[in-house]
Amino acid sequence: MPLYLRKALQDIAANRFLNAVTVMTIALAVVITGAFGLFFINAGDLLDSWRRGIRLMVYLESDLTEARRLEIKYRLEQMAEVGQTRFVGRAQAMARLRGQMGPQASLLDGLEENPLPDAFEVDLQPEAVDADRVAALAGQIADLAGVEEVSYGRQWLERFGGLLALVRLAVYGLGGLFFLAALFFVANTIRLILYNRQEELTIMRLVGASERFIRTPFYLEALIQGAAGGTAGLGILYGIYLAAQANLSASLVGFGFAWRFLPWYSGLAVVAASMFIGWLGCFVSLRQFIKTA
Amino acid sequence: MTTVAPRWPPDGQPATDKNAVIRIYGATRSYGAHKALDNVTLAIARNAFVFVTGPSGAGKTTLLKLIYLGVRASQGQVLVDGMNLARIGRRRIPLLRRKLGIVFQDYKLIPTRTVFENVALVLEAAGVPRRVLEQKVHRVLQTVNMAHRREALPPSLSGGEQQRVAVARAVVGDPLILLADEPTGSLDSESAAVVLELIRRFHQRGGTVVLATHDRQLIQSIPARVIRLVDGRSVEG
Ligand SMILES: Nc1ncnc2c1ncn2[C@@H]1O[C@H](COP(=O)(O)OP(=O)(O)OP(=O)(O)O)[C@@H](O)[C@H]1O
Ligand SMILES: [Mg+2]
Repeated sequence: MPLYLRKALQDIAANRFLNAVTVMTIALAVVITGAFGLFFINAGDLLDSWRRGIRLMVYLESDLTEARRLEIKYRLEQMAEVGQTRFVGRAQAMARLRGQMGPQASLLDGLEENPLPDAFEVDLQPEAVDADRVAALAGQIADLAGVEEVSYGRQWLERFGGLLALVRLAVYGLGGLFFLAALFFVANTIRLILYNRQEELTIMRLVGASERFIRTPFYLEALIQGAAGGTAGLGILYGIYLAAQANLSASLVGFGFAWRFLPWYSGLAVVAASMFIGWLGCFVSLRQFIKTA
Repeated sequence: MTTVAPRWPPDGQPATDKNAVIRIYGATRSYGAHKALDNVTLAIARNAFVFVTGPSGAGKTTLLKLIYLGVRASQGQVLVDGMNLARIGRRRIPLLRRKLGIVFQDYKLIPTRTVFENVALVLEAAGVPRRVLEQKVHRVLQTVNMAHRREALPPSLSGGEQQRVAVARAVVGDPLILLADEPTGSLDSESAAVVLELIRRFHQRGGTVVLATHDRQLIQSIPARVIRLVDGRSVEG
């Protein structure tokens, strides 16, 4: 084994507690930031799948002529954003409602006549689905003669989009914060180790050891800490992910939605960033230490 | 004290400009108002054996420190093997120290490293390959009768044992110059003889020895050149 690596490992063994604390700190930073990141990408996916499935319900005025209805259908299909349209007659709508209500459907038996209007169900082109364009389209459709009302999950869509933007901010903010916290811990661990070993370092210099000889094991140690912390953090995150997936999937069946973990390159980036934190922490404390020693 | 080999005892060969390996010109080292060394000028020839003596507080340790850059001279010049120490920056200090083997008055062994590791450190720092290193360390520990304690930590050793390890560490790298500060200070006469024998062999291999001591008996046992310090001033002879 190369000399420096052996020294670094010896050192980690000799300062087990401090090293463990540092590794856990880095792991914690990875877990917390990573959890938000995971939420972000999965919520984004979820939003996308909802958007893809979004439909406008175009409710028609009652007692429209067949010609009027066909004209509306024709106008709808002329619109660039519109995919398919389907006519849902009031009787069909009632049947659907009964189906959705299940056992409670008997409540509908008391109705003397069907209160539901005829409607067109309008699928959108996937690329057209963004909150602003959908709103504009809905306004346009509502202006057509014979259209009573247009409904879609508008507020819902906007709120969820806003929430995602917030989560994205949180990911960056927390990421930065935990990066600093981890850096602080690594720098302090190394500094503590340096102070513990001040006498040893002095003696090493007296017998002719170069700064490179003295410092390289510390850098290796910090890189190992970073790699270990990053990997451990990803492992814990994956555990949490599996647990969350098992608990939440049931409620999301039918959306054609698949959960996913961080992609492999993000995992690599996390480990690399953790190692960078280690390196930087070591750099900072060695600089300070050399100045004060 | 020990058996006397042909080139032993060394004569007090004078240093000339050509053969001097250590040259000190008007060196003064002050601590506040107090001058630990006061305008000392001397030259030590390559392969010389020199005693530095004088009462406690006379400046023996300070003189050695000037040579290994433990402290810098407040005034004057120190040259070691052609290097002007006033011009050596922090980064190049290791180059100077690898020419030197130092036995510190207080040993300066790393308390958390084994005897073996302490001695091996010098060779590791010089980039000596592992197998050669192990052989050399083992051999030198044998010569100071410490091979059986190679895995011991310094605090568990007696003062004399620590001193022998310190001497082993100082010579293991075959330095140009050995600076020994009271290397037999805590030793009984038997251990002192072992250590002296080691230093003698180092000198015979061509090394230069500067040995600080106030032990008259030790000085008298070897008719080498003696530099006497009194209150930081040098009084040769
Ligand atoms: N770091 C220091 N700060 C202040 N004074 C010092 C320092 N180092 C040495 N001195 C003073 O310089 C003088 C010479 O000290 P030095 O250690 O060289 O003496 P010495 O000849 O080695 O003595 P000993 O035989 O006791 O080892 C002493 O008066 C000492 O108090
Ligand atoms: Mg002294």
